[in-house]
Amino acid sequence: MVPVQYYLLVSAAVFCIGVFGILTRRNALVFLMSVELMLNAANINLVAFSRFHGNLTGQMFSLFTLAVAAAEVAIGIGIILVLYRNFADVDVTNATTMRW
Amino acid sequence: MTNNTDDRSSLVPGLAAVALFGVLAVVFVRASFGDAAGFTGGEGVVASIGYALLNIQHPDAIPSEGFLVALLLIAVVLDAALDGAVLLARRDENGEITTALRSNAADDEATSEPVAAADGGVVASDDSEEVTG
Repeated sequence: MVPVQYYLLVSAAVFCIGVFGILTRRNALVFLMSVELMLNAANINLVAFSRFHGNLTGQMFSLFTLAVAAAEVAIGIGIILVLYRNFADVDVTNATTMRW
Repeated sequence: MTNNTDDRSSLVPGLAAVALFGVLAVVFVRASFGDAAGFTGGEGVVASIGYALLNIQHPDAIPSEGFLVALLLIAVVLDAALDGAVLLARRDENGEITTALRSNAADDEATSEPVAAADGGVVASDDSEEVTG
Protein backbone atom coordinates (compact mmCIF):
# COMPACT_ATOMS: atom_id res chain seq x y z
CA MET A 1 0.00 0.00 0.00
CA VAL A 2 1.35 3.40 -0.98
CA PRO A 3 2.34 5.50 2.07
CA VAL A 4 0.30 8.60 2.65
CA GLN A 5 3.39 10.80 2.41
CA TYR A 6 3.55 10.22 -1.33
CA TYR A 7 0.04 11.52 -1.78
CA LEU A 8 0.90 14.54 0.33
CA LEU A 9 3.98 15.24 -1.78
CA VAL A 10 1.96 15.10 -5.00
CA SER A 11 -0.65 17.33 -3.42
CA ALA A 12 1.98 19.84 -2.30
CA ALA A 13 3.49 19.89 -5.79
CA VAL A 14 0.12 20.52 -7.43
CA PHE A 15 -0.69 23.21 -4.89
CA CYS A 16 2.64 24.97 -5.46
CA ILE A 17 2.10 24.88 -9.23
CA GLY A 18 -1.24 26.58 -8.64
CA VAL A 19 0.39 29.19 -6.40
CA PHE A 20 3.03 29.84 -9.06
CA GLY A 21 0.35 30.27 -11.70
CA ILE A 22 -1.59 32.74 -9.60
CA LEU A 23 1.51 34.76 -8.73
CA THR A 24 2.87 35.03 -12.26
CA ARG A 25 0.03 34.91 -14.77
CA ARG A 26 -2.31 37.74 -15.63
CA ASN A 27 -4.67 35.86 -17.92
CA ALA A 28 -7.95 35.36 -16.11
CA LEU A 29 -8.48 31.91 -17.59
CA VAL A 30 -5.06 30.73 -16.43
CA PHE A 31 -5.87 32.30 -13.10
CA LEU A 32 -9.00 30.20 -12.88
CA MET A 33 -7.09 27.07 -13.82
CA SER A 34 -4.51 27.78 -11.15
CA VAL A 35 -7.24 28.09 -8.54
CA GLU A 36 -8.58 24.75 -9.71
CA LEU A 37 -5.15 23.21 -9.28
CA MET A 38 -5.04 24.41 -5.67
CA LEU A 39 -8.53 23.10 -4.99
CA ASN A 40 -7.68 19.71 -6.45
CA ALA A 41 -4.54 19.55 -4.35
CA ALA A 42 -6.81 19.78 -1.33
CA ASN A 43 -8.95 17.04 -2.83
CA ILE A 44 -5.94 14.74 -3.11
CA ASN A 45 -5.29 15.25 0.59
CA LEU A 46 -8.91 14.53 1.46
CA VAL A 47 -8.97 11.29 -0.52
CA ALA A 48 -5.59 10.19 0.80
CA PHE A 49 -6.57 10.67 4.41
CA SER A 50 -9.95 9.10 3.73
CA ARG A 51 -8.18 5.90 2.80
CA PHE A 52 -5.69 6.35 5.60
CA HIS A 53 -8.44 6.40 8.20
CA GLY A 54 -10.66 3.85 6.46
CA ASN A 55 -13.57 6.28 6.41
CA LEU A 56 -15.44 7.62 3.40
CA THR A 57 -16.09 11.07 4.82
CA GLY A 58 -13.03 12.53 3.17
CA GLN A 59 -14.10 11.30 -0.23
CA MET A 60 -17.53 12.77 0.33
CA PHE A 61 -15.95 16.09 1.20
CA SER A 62 -13.89 15.97 -1.97
CA LEU A 63 -17.03 15.35 -4.00
CA PHE A 64 -18.68 18.41 -2.52
CA THR A 65 -15.50 20.41 -3.06
CA LEU A 66 -15.68 19.44 -6.73
CA ALA A 67 -19.27 20.65 -6.87
CA VAL A 68 -18.35 23.97 -5.29
CA ALA A 69 -15.45 24.26 -7.73
CA ALA A 70 -17.86 23.71 -10.61
CA ALA A 71 -20.07 26.50 -9.30
CA GLU A 72 -17.04 28.72 -8.93
CA VAL A 73 -15.95 28.05 -12.49
CA ALA A 74 -19.43 28.80 -13.81
CA ILE A 75 -19.46 32.18 -12.10
CA GLY A 76 -15.81 32.79 -12.93
CA ILE A 77 -16.27 32.23 -16.64
CA GLY A 78 -19.30 34.51 -16.57
CA ILE A 79 -17.19 37.22 -14.96
CA ILE A 80 -14.44 36.65 -17.52
CA LEU A 81 -16.98 37.08 -20.31
CA VAL A 82 -18.08 40.42 -18.87
CA LEU A 83 -14.43 41.38 -18.42
CA TYR A 84 -13.70 40.63 -22.05
CA ARG A 85 -16.72 42.53 -23.28
CA ASN A 86 -15.75 45.61 -21.32
CA PHE A 87 -11.97 45.60 -21.77
CA ALA A 88 -11.52 43.47 -24.90
CA ASP A 89 -8.97 41.52 -22.91
CA VAL A 90 -8.86 39.01 -20.09
CA ASP A 91 -5.97 40.60 -18.25
CA VAL A 92 -6.87 40.64 -14.58
CA THR A 93 -4.79 43.77 -13.98
CA ASN A 94 -7.08 45.86 -16.19
CA ALA A 95 -10.00 45.67 -13.83
CA THR A 96 -8.70 47.46 -10.78
CA THR A 97 -12.05 48.41 -9.32
CA MET A 98 -15.36 46.69 -8.76
CA ARG A 99 -17.01 49.36 -10.90
CA TRP A 100 -16.40 50.17 -14.53
CA MET B 1 -4.34 39.35 -25.89
CA THR B 2 -2.79 39.20 -22.52
CA ASN B 3 0.95 39.36 -22.41
CA ASN B 4 2.67 36.89 -20.24
CA THR B 5 5.08 38.15 -17.70
CA ASP B 6 8.76 38.15 -18.46
CA ASP B 7 11.27 35.84 -16.86
CA ARG B 8 12.52 38.28 -14.27
CA SER B 9 9.13 39.05 -12.83
CA SER B 10 8.31 35.35 -12.51
CA LEU B 11 11.61 34.47 -10.87
CA VAL B 12 10.66 35.54 -7.35
CA PRO B 13 7.21 33.88 -7.40
CA GLY B 14 8.82 30.76 -8.83
CA LEU B 15 11.39 30.66 -6.06
CA ALA B 16 8.64 31.25 -3.51
CA ALA B 17 6.61 28.37 -4.88
CA VAL B 18 9.64 26.06 -4.89
CA ALA B 19 10.52 27.12 -1.34
CA LEU B 20 6.97 26.45 -0.22
CA PHE B 21 7.11 23.00 -1.79
CA GLY B 22 10.46 22.36 -0.09
CA VAL B 23 9.11 23.26 3.33
CA LEU B 24 6.01 21.14 2.81
CA ALA B 25 8.05 18.20 1.51
CA VAL B 26 10.39 18.28 4.50
CA VAL B 27 7.46 18.35 6.90
CA PHE B 28 5.65 15.52 5.12
CA VAL B 29 8.68 13.26 4.80
CA ARG B 30 9.70 13.71 8.40
CA ALA B 31 6.21 13.10 9.75
CA SER B 32 5.25 9.60 10.82
CA PHE B 33 1.75 8.56 9.95
CA GLY B 34 1.82 4.82 10.48
CA ASP B 35 0.08 2.28 8.34
CA ALA B 36 -3.04 3.16 6.42
CA ALA B 37 -6.22 1.49 7.58
CA GLY B 38 -7.65 1.07 4.09
CA PHE B 39 -11.27 0.47 3.26
CA THR B 40 -12.95 -2.48 4.90
CA GLY B 41 -16.45 -3.59 4.16
CA GLY B 42 -18.29 -5.84 1.79
CA GLU B 43 -19.60 -3.08 -0.41
CA GLY B 44 -17.36 -1.16 -2.79
CA VAL B 45 -16.33 2.44 -2.46
CA VAL B 46 -18.77 3.73 -5.07
CA ALA B 47 -21.73 1.91 -3.56
CA SER B 48 -20.80 3.15 -0.12
CA ILE B 49 -20.61 6.72 -1.43
CA GLY B 50 -24.12 6.31 -2.77
CA TYR B 51 -25.35 5.04 0.59
CA ALA B 52 -23.64 7.94 2.37
CA LEU B 53 -25.09 10.52 -0.03
CA LEU B 54 -28.63 9.35 0.62
CA ASN B 55 -28.25 8.59 4.35
CA ILE B 56 -28.93 4.90 3.80
CA GLN B 57 -27.74 2.62 6.55
CA HIS B 58 -26.24 -0.51 5.06
CA PRO B 59 -24.47 -3.15 7.15
CA ASP B 60 -21.72 -3.83 4.60
CA ALA B 61 -21.04 -0.24 3.63
CA ILE B 62 -17.78 1.51 4.40
CA PRO B 63 -18.31 3.69 7.48
CA SER B 64 -19.19 7.29 6.80
CA GLU B 65 -21.51 10.02 7.90
CA GLY B 66 -24.75 11.01 6.22
CA PHE B 67 -24.67 13.74 3.59
CA LEU B 68 -28.24 14.02 2.40
CA VAL B 69 -28.65 17.61 3.60
CA ALA B 70 -25.32 18.57 2.07
CA LEU B 71 -26.37 16.97 -1.21
CA LEU B 72 -29.55 19.06 -1.31
CA LEU B 73 -27.69 22.23 -0.36
CA ILE B 74 -25.06 21.72 -3.03
CA ALA B 75 -27.81 21.14 -5.58
CA VAL B 76 -29.26 24.54 -4.71
CA VAL B 77 -25.82 26.14 -4.88
CA LEU B 78 -25.13 24.66 -8.31
CA ASP B 79 -28.52 25.85 -9.53
CA ALA B 80 -27.80 29.36 -8.26
CA ALA B 81 -24.38 29.27 -9.93
CA LEU B 82 -25.94 28.24 -13.21
CA ASP B 83 -28.40 31.11 -13.00
CA GLY B 84 -25.61 33.51 -12.14
CA ALA B 85 -23.48 32.36 -15.05
CA VAL B 86 -26.38 32.77 -17.47
CA LEU B 87 -27.11 36.22 -16.05
CA LEU B 88 -23.50 37.28 -16.52
CA ALA B 89 -23.09 35.83 -19.99
CA ARG B 90 -26.42 36.96 -21.38
CA ARG B 91 -26.52 39.68 -24.00
CA ASP B 92 -29.33 42.12 -24.30
CA GLU B 93 -31.56 41.91 -27.32
CA ASN B 94 -30.16 45.00 -29.04
CA GLY B 95 -26.61 43.79 -28.79
CA GLU B 96 -25.59 45.85 -25.80
CA ILE B 97 -23.26 44.43 -23.26
CA THR B 98 -24.72 42.98 -20.17
CA THR B 99 -25.22 45.40 -17.34
CA ALA B 100 -24.35 42.95 -14.64
CA LEU B 101 -21.52 44.00 -12.36
CA ARG B 102 -21.95 47.60 -13.44
CA SER B 103 -23.10 50.22 -11.03
CA ASN B 104 -23.60 52.91 -13.67
CA ALA B 105 -26.04 51.01 -15.82
CA ALA B 106 -28.77 53.56 -15.16
CA ASP B 107 -26.51 56.31 -16.50
CA ASP B 108 -25.96 54.42 -19.70
CA GLU B 109 -29.65 53.92 -20.19
CA ALA B 110 -30.26 57.64 -19.71
CA THR B 111 -27.72 58.67 -22.32
CA SER B 112 -28.21 58.19 -25.99
CA GLU B 113 -24.55 57.41 -26.69
CA PRO B 114 -23.90 53.93 -27.91
CA VAL B 115 -22.42 51.74 -25.25
CA ALA B 116 -22.50 48.51 -27.13
CA ALA B 117 -19.30 46.60 -27.46
CA ALA B 118 -19.16 43.46 -29.46
CA ASP B 119 -16.46 40.95 -28.75
CA GLY B 120 -13.25 42.49 -29.87
CA GLY B 121 -14.99 45.70 -30.87
CA VAL B 122 -15.19 49.13 -29.39
CA VAL B 123 -15.12 49.11 -25.64
CA ALA B 124 -17.89 50.79 -23.75
CA SER B 125 -17.08 54.00 -21.96
CA ASP B 126 -18.91 55.98 -19.34
CA ASP B 127 -18.90 59.62 -18.34
CA SER B 128 -15.91 59.56 -16.03
CA GLU B 129 -13.34 57.40 -17.66
CA GLU B 130 -12.45 55.99 -21.03
CA VAL B 131 -11.54 52.36 -21.16
CA THR B 132 -9.41 51.09 -23.93
CA GLY B 133 -8.77 47.53 -24.90
